[in-house]
Amino acid sequence: MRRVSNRYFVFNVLIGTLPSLLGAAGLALSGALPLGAALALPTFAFVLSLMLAWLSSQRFHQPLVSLLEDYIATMRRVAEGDFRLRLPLRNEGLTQELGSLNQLGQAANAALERMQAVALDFTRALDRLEADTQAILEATARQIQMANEQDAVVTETTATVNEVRATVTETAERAQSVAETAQLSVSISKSGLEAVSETISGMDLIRRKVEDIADNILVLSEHTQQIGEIIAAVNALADQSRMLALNASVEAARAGEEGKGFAVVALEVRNLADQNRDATVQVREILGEIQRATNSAVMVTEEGSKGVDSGQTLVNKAGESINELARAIEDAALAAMQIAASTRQQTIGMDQLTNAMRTIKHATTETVSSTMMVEASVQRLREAAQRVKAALRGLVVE
Amino acid sequence: MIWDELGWDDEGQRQRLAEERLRQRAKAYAAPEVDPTPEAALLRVLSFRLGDERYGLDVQAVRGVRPLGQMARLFQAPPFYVGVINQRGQMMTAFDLRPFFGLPIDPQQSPPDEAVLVEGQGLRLALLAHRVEDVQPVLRADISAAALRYARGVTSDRLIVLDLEALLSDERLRLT
Repeated sequence: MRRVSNRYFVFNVLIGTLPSLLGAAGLALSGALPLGAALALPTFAFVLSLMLAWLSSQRFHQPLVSLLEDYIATMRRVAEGDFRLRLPLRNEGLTQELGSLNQLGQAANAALERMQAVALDFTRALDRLEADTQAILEATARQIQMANEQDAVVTETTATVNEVRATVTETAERAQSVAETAQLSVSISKSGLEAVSETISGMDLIRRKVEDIADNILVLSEHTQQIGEIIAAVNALADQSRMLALNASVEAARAGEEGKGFAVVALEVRNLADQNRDATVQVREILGEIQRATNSAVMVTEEGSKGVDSGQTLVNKAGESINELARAIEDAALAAMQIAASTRQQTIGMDQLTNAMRTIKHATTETVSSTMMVEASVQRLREAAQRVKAALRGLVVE
Repeated sequence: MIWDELGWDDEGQRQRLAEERLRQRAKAYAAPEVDPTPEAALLRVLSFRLGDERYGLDVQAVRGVRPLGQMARLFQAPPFYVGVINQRGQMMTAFDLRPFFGLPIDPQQSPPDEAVLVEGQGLRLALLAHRVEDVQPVLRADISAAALRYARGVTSDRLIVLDLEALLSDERLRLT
């Protein structure tokens, strides 16, 4: 009964331990190898120890005991981290018990084989992961640095664009005011041209008037000439009258007492003749003055018509100059208006540029923050990998 | 203007002048002779100007006065015989007293254009004058004898009273 119960106990132990062994192997295979190995391997060793203790009590199973002892020692070393070890196997002299144990060793060896491969894969993957996260971190650091530089450049560019925009706006305002001034100048020069044409017609009128004056003065001069001739005739008559009176006086004087009355008459006649002569002298003087006045009037009118000629020439020149000036100002006005229009377009372009810069800046900020998030994630990943690696440290897999 | 001053066109003015003249004349006739100088004390002379001098001629020797008029120049004659003129169809010799008296002829002065006709000693001459002035009475006593060969003398107002008889008697006037 006791043997049956012992046997039952061993069977039970084996049955109960097997799931644990399989669980440890499963755990190791499912990726939680360090933990699984840490738990499963001592458990496996402990199970083997129990089996040994039981076998020792049976006494007749000496080869079995030595094999188990070998198994225990090997498993203890495996638990210390050397995954290269394998359980020794027997190929001959197998009893029923030894065959079972040998099968157990084969299964354990297969598990170890698998665990060694997985640990090796893990170690290599972690190395690779570390190098890759290192590269990613370097890349993100560069990316953040470049994004910061880009942000600075964009800020600078935005400032420059704003300055240029201010200049362009000022240019547009100035061009506008130039255009307005030029427009005003054009209207002023037009009124100048009207004044010139009025002056020209006024000059024509003056010329005609001066010519009329010259004609009238010529007629006046001829009349004065005729008056002079008449006066000369009157003068000659006066001289003759005087001579006659003198002759009468002489005759009266020669007649003596009888001629006295006659002498008085002769004196009267001579006085009249003298008065006549004085009058003609006065008229002649006045005529002379008239003649001089008409002569100077003729000269003055000639100078006047010359003045009108040169005045007309000057006015014509002034008109041409004003015309040219007006054309030049009109061109300037047109150019200024074109400048104003193109600077307005430039302003629109600058605004678009500013908006584009704002968008770029926003995008850069976004890039920086998401890169930082990526960096943090990678950092965490790296730390996790380092923890795993630390746990794997001490395993000998190759 | 001048016509107004002269009053030629003004009938009333002319009338007034004529009336004034008649009034003066009547006054002269009506006035008593304040200083009845005896006719014998007076010499009636015809005065004329030639050059810078004034000359007087006894009216008895004077045959008349006239504008010089057209004169034909004489050549190869003494300088005082300057030309001949036509006096009512008769030739008369024009005579310049200045070269005869040895007086200078001022080229600035206009040439004489009047003449006093005289006759005596068988000669009839037309004496050149710049201006014949007047018949005027000269007191014989006022004529102061001067050392002039052809003059009776000079009056107080520097009138040279010519001695025509002596002048016309000069041998130089006689041309062969």
